[in-house]
Amino acid sequence: MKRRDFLKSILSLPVAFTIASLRKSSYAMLIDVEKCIGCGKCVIACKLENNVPMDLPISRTWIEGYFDGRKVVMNTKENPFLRIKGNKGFFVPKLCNHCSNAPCVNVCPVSARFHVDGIVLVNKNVCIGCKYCITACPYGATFVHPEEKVTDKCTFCYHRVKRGLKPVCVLVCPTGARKFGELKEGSELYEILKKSRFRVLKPETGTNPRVFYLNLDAVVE
Amino acid sequence: MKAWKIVLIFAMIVYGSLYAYTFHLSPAVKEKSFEEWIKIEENKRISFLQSDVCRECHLKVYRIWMSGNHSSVECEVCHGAGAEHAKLRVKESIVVEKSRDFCLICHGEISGRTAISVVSEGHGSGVICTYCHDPHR
Repeated sequence: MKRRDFLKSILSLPVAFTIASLRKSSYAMLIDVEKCIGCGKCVIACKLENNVPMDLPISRTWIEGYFDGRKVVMNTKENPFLRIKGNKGFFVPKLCNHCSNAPCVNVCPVSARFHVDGIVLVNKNVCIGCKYCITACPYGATFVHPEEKVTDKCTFCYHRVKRGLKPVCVLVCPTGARKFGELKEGSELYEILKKSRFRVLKPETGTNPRVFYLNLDAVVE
Repeated sequence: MKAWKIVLIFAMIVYGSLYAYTFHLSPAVKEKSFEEWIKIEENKRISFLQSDVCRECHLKVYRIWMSGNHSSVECEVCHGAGAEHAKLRVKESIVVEKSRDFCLICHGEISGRTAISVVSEGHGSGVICTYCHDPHR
């Protein structure tokens, strides 16, 4: 029996290692499209927190409004949705999807992009601004920062998460449309995803995004 | 003969230094550079805090807010970034908006707003919202 136990423990070692690697913190976001009211607080707060120019149409997170098939984008201080009245519509907040198989990480010629805890970060000391990542990203989530002259994108507010705070877009969402947390067994996000039907954006590209959408309409790409 | 040797040595030095830079010294290949950047990213300044910090000074308003309808809405949604205000502690460093347009950013009647109660144009038009409604309640 002793020998059997020993062999068993030897065999279970790789399994234990895999479970341990899965249990390492991996952050994800869940967006309920039904709850988004298009107030644009997240866009303004994100720009303030991360020093992205307020008046230029570039943003780490942006809101797309769909009205009778027409798409209106909010990515500056101005809220274009307040002028639109009477049409049936809905709002979709978008941001970097922090793909597990990220095209921007794969194409970067200087390895400036890398994964930490499931978050894709840009090393701005290394980035040369060649914009390969901008063409590779299927979500259009990365852009060139006009002042730093290197590419910039959502970091899931890494500096806040490591201090134990929520990302700023999650914090300022008045309806709780965005939820953020670790994606592991027993966590709040895991339980919601287990119970409900969710979708990711552009699953056909094989990027395995970490941003999940509830109640998402099929016209959204 | 001599000049040819000098050129060769010079070429070897250039080649060697370029090789050493690209494969050993450049920040792209040094694994440490990731850790350095993570440290820089972690130490970035934050401008938004959380409502727990607001409670430290504004306990009276905090208690009213906790029992009210806006309790799911964080302080900084309406009042703006609070880190500067927590440092300076003066009225000018925080947003106190009471205009009708400011409330209508969220409560205006536009399509696709099903999650919250909206206000039509006719409801008390021209009157400041806070005249009747306490936003903290």
